Amino acid sequence: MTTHTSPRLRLYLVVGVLSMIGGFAIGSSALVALSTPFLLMSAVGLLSVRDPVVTMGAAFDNDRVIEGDEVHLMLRVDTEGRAMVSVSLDLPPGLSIKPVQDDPAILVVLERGVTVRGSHALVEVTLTCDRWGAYRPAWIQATYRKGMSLFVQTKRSFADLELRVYPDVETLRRLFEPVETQLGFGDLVSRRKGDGLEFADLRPFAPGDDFRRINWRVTASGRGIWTNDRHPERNSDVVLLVDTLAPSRRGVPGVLDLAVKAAAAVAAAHLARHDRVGLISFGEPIRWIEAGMGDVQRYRILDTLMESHVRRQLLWRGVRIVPPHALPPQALVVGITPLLDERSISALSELRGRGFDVRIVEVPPEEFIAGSESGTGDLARRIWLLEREATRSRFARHGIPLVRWEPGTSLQAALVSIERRERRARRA
Amino acid sequence: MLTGAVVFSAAAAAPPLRLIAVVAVLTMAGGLVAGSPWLITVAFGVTVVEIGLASTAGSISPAWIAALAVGVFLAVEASVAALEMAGDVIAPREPAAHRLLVTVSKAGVVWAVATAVALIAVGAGQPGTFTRIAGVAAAAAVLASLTRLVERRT
Repeated sequence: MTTHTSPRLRLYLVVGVLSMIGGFAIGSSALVALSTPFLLMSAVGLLSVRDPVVTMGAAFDNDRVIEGDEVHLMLRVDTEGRAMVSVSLDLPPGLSIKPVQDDPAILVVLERGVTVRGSHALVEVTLTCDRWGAYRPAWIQATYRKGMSLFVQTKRSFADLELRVYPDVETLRRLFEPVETQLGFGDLVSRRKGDGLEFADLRPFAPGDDFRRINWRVTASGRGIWTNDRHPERNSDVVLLVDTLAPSRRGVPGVLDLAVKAAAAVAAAHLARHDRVGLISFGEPIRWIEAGMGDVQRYRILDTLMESHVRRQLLWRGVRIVPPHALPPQALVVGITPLLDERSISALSELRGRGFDVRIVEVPPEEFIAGSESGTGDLARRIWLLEREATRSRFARHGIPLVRWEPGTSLQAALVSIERRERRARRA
Repeated sequence: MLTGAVVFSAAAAAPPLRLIAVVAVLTMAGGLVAGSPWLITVAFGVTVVEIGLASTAGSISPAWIAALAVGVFLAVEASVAALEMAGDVIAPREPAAHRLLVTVSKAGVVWAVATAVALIAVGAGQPGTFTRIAGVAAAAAVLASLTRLVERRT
């Protein structure tokens, strides 16, 4: 608890004491009359001041929400006696207090808090979740006046709060088609032959074959007994490699925001297709999640993505640090990168070299980098753009399909275009 | 503006005092612009000196002293409010209506106390040397008591 002296006390004392001394010194009753109310108020304020017991608490009504949603923060303030208390919160960028609150107990809405009246106030503050992320407000602070408003006291308490705001992602219907499927049951038609629904081929009947698979129409032609072969429905392993090396400031919609949104959308869609999805958060440090299925895996991926940040490391070991079980054989690796850091570019090339099926979704950083008015700056920018083009060509030479996802456009359209190109290339 | 009104009304009958009034107003303006409570304190100190000199020169009517006290009080409150609203000092935010109500109530108290003291002073007549010495001693005692209280509370 900290007590601050209001400038009011100093001003009251200066006016009061100077007037009183001057009044008696020069025999001016006017000055004495001027001083008396100020000295009286100072004395009453100083004598009436006492330390009230203030307790506070806060809790979110929902600790997992979607970007753009509103969340209610229940604030409890207990004070001794009836007092007006401003309660402020360590509100990180990305969360904001709604300017108009519904709770009648809230007297004033501040930038980072509210002013409430009452000795036992329980108010519901509406917050708007402007940006995805994991938020942990560290403290709650109560500020109130005491002693005829001559003092201001602040009390800060530890806030045990956590709010996870998940990105609002686009629903994808068409996804990357992996070259190889896995053994698990899924929605993908495997290239292998086995039990399934899709017709694959005809072959002569062999002992042990299921009689229900005999193709009676072909068999009726009199050239022996023929059975149908079918393609089984299988799932695939998808590993998202999200490049978080590009520095991004929190609260600024930058390339990291786009990368996280793209990764969340792709992960959700693949999981809905019964694929096993893993994640490599390619930053400093590199973090990974082994491929898995279901809603739990989705939230694990989202939680890891929300913790994406850059922390400088002296030792850089690249993608080799990722254990083999985080990169299952024949997995489809989807790299989501702004192509800004050579380390992530090399990592994607290395994975292609190791035989993985790699696709790249480029989140273009050009729009987030300020242009230059000077001729030199413009020239530097053009050279930089040429270097980026050369990087794209390098990926094309390595057989890695790459698509640019322009901000403000549909990710689905980008994915469809890459698949169309890929199919054409395979046919060629 | 309020400080200007207060100091210039006090200096109305004595043109040389206007220079002090100008200094007070400029210091106050500087204090408000810079968000410095210390400059504002100096401005009020200059204002009190100017009022004292005006009182000696006889340009302040005893009948108006209560109004002058209320004026100084409102100027203090306005400057504190300006500092608080600008975020230069830590303070809770209250609704404007509540703040206005409190200020008006306190202004009433200031007016009542100043009027009462002025009436007592008029009734008591001209003070002698002993009264002045006793008064200064009383003022010093009040100052010492307040200093001790302030030290204890801060």
